[in-house]
Amino acid sequence: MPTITLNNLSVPFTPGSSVLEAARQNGVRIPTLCYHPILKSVGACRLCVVEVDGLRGFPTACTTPAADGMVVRTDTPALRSLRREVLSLILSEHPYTCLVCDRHDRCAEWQVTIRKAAVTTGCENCPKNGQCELQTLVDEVGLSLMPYSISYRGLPVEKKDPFFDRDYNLCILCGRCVRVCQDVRRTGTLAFIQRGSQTLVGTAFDKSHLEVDCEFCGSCVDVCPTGALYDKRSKWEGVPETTARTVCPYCSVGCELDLWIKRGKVVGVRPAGAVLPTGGLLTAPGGAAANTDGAPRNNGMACVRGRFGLVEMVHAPDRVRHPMLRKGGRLIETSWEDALAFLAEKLPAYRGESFALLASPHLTSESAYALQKFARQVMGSGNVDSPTALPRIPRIGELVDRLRAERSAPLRSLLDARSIVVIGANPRLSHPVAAVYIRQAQAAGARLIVVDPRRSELAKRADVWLPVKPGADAALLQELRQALARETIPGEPSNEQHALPQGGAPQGGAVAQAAHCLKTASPCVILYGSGVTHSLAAVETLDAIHDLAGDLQAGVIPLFGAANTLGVLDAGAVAVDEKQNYAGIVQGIANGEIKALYLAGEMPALDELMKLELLIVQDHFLSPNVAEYAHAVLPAASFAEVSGTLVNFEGRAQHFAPAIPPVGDTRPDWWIAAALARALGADGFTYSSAADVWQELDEQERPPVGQAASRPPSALDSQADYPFTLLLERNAYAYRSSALTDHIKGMELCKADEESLYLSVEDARRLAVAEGDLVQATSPAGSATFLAHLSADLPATLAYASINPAHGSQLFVGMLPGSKVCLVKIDKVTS
Amino acid sequence: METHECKTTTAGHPAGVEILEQRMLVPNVNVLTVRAPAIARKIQPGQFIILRADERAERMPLTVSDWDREAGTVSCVFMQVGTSTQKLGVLEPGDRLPTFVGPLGHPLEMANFGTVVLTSGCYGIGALYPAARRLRELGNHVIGMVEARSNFLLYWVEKYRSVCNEVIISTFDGSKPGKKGEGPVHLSDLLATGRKIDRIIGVGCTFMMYETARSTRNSGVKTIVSLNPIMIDGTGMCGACRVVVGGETKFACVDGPDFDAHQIDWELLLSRRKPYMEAEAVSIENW
Repeated sequence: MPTITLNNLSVPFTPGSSVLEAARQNGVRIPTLCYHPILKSVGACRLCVVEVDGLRGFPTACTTPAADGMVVRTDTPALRSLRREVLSLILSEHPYTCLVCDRHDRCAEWQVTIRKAAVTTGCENCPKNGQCELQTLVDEVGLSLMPYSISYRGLPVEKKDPFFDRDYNLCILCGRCVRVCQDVRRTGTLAFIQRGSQTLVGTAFDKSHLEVDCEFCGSCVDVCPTGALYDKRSKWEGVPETTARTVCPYCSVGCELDLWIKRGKVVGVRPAGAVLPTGGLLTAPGGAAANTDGAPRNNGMACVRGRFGLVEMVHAPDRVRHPMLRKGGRLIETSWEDALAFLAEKLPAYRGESFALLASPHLTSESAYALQKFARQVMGSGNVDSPTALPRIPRIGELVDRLRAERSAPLRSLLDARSIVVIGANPRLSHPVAAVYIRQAQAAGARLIVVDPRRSELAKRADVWLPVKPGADAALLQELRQALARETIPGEPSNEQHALPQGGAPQGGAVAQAAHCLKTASPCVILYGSGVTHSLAAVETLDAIHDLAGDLQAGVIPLFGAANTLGVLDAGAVAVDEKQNYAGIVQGIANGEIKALYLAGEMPALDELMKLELLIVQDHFLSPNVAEYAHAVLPAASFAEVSGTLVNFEGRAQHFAPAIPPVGDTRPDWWIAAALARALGADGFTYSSAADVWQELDEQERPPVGQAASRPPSALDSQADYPFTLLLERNAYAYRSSALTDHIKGMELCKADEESLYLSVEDARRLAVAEGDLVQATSPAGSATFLAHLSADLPATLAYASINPAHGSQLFVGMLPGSKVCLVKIDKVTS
Repeated sequence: METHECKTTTAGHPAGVEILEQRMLVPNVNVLTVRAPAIARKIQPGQFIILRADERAERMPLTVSDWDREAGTVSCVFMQVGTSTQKLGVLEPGDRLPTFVGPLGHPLEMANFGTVVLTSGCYGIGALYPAARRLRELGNHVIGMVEARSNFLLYWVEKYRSVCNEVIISTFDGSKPGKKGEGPVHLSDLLATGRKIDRIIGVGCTFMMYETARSTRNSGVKTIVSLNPIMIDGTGMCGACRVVVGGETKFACVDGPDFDAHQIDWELLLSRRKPYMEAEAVSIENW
């Protein structure tokens, strides 16, 4: 290993390190401000200046590569003086008075009552007080007297965007937010605007973040060393007492998050690895540092849901906090004893097939396992399913089997990919962190091929877009394989995009071009999403994907929708035959065969629920349907309050521990299932912790997969009565049975466009529909009204809408709960 | 006491008082001017009003910073430091306040004392201005000491210059036109010169008034400060604003708000400002 001489001490360093990294590897601290480990170093702040023998002046340690035998001094009188001057200049554009005030400690005790000011004018009314890197640096550099007075910019504080406020009067222009936005997230929302002394951080044309299509991932807030950017929701909570490492419960990427805890409440969320220890936080006793086990796969990143959507979900004022029973037509709060006694009396009458369980794919594996065991063993019913959102297809058992056997390539393999194929997925909305890796790979030169019926946002960024008729993916992939087999001579692929072909059928040219790309750019990673798993031809498409992956020796990444789709499949909380699946259960309720329904984090929007003799609802929130029809409501503890396991799409079982005590009288889902089983006198439910359940689950033989008759899938051909194929994208703002957009302030502004239906220009002309008109889409099951938008990205007879499963849709009623497509007719609403 | 608290309206007359001007003077510090002729006729230096920003907002006491008896207008300088003050800060001219009650509290004692030093900071710069004007009219030699962290937080300096014999501006960072350092330190320096001072009045944040009390304690000069404890009704009913002065429990609303700074139990005052801090944070995060 090469060595470097640091302050007269010869120490080894990892080859490829900068002088700064070499110093940190050896425990030598050099002050920094613009440096952040997840960002490219730019040497902008000049606090990390060092002396290096043989180099003129004072090079910055973050941008100087360490070399074998290099002699470096990090702490000399000249460097200390230089750093004090540099920091003084930086602070002269920051309201610094409290930083160098000798009455600061006494004042803090008094000013704490008026700290929640509209505008930050000093440390005492700054949300970052106690976690600010400038505060740490002033002590570290030894700055006690400021030679310069404050040059205050006097800019208005930006408070109109959701989730975080921006006060650029506090900004010291380190550029971390700009770099994380441009180089890491690759969204390009932020940039330096203006020049010279007028330089500021801002957006294109200084528009609001909403207007410039910001994803609100929060990365800029995470890396900001000052209080310039701060969460609205936890702005005045101050320094957390402790932090707890956990797993995001929303999507199947399984990002590791640090929950900030104060007074037994979650007061903030940061993606693991995003906050620097110099913020004075991660070194706190009992802090996340103790939980760290290697670099988190999200590498300091999260998305709007994980970053800004958890505190309010856990502590929402309308969360169900106590068990409730229906008495005299109303739901009345009661004790667990009474609720369990009531159910122990009622449930035995519904043993057998008149009982059904629908479980959310957001449940932990332990909870899903305990619930399905309760349904199958105690209630003796096979009516168990989870809307892992598998459609009612003839080969459902095979599909479950395929998905359960899916072994994903690691998420990080995307970064090494030279070509990426995305089939039936919109990762920017559904799995934003995976989308970041795709953008990073693209920036490093990887080729992107997108298979999608519509020219989606991702398709526009792709090297090749392969438009496909819904349900015809398998045929397209076979065509691609044939083209690959023909492709023999490697050459330079063209970047030219293919225009929308007439009739939506793929052009031979595009397929050939894709084949050429794939042949010349290896390794390849193939991602697929709900467009594949929710299609009627899911099994055929999966086979085709694996055939293609075999040809290319490509890795395959399944972008499952919910956080624990794989875990719930593995725990057996899923139907294995057509009659007992979600649609079968819904039909059973409708025709009266199913009389008792147990909903664990799931809520079909069905009027038929009123026919049930017993409806048990176990969740965080009460939807209007529940309030109307439920006989018993059991309050489930949220992910922050329980221990459990979520299996991400890579198949990685991620265990997590409770971060806070249960809110109100809530209990873990597995605990409720076990308590019910015991109340009914069943054996085998004496778990004392989630770990007990996990141990039993881990030792289980996987439940056998049903062998349904193999029939060819019915192709979804348009019919005369329903001439349009409507693509229904789940907008990812659903969690358990709730819509995040209903409970989290600001989330409704965030691409949850549930009112719109997109139509091709050609169809719109034919239907005499103009932009903004009201249109009615009618399926054989029901109808819904939308605002029409004209889109050049859709072929004729294809329409597109984004829906929130938690809000349900009349289009679905009684059919295809998991389906991505349905046949509709579209009419202009004239009245 | 006059009240503009009207829930019912006579035909054609909307309820509440009308906002005529709303302006941020410096970050967090706003001046709000309303039409309230009955209050404008009677208000004296040191008195306050209680208002609500909207029908669901809490009652909030603000010292009156200026008035025009003929035009019937009243102005308050307030600082945006919580939900209610920020609610107030976003209202615009033409909006109406459902409650605007006053004048409340005793006026500051006004007489020809000789030489009077007025020390003020943040919202207190505005709150003490009427006293400066009146004391000068009564023939005092008025020394206005205005403090701010930095010059970007200074306001009404010209107004002070127009009514004071001397104005001493201090900024913590030495930014012009300030003298570097804190106001109470400059006050100590002034007292140390041996110059005869007959009365000192301080208005500002609790810490600044506490520091003023500390720096004048040994001088023997009578020092008056205007306290700002949590207050609800402003008429002596709720008792939330009680403070201990000279060993006796007083209500800031009806016995004050001005008290002898050297008699105040400052530790108790501080602790009584803190009980709702958690709820205050929740309130503003959910606003």
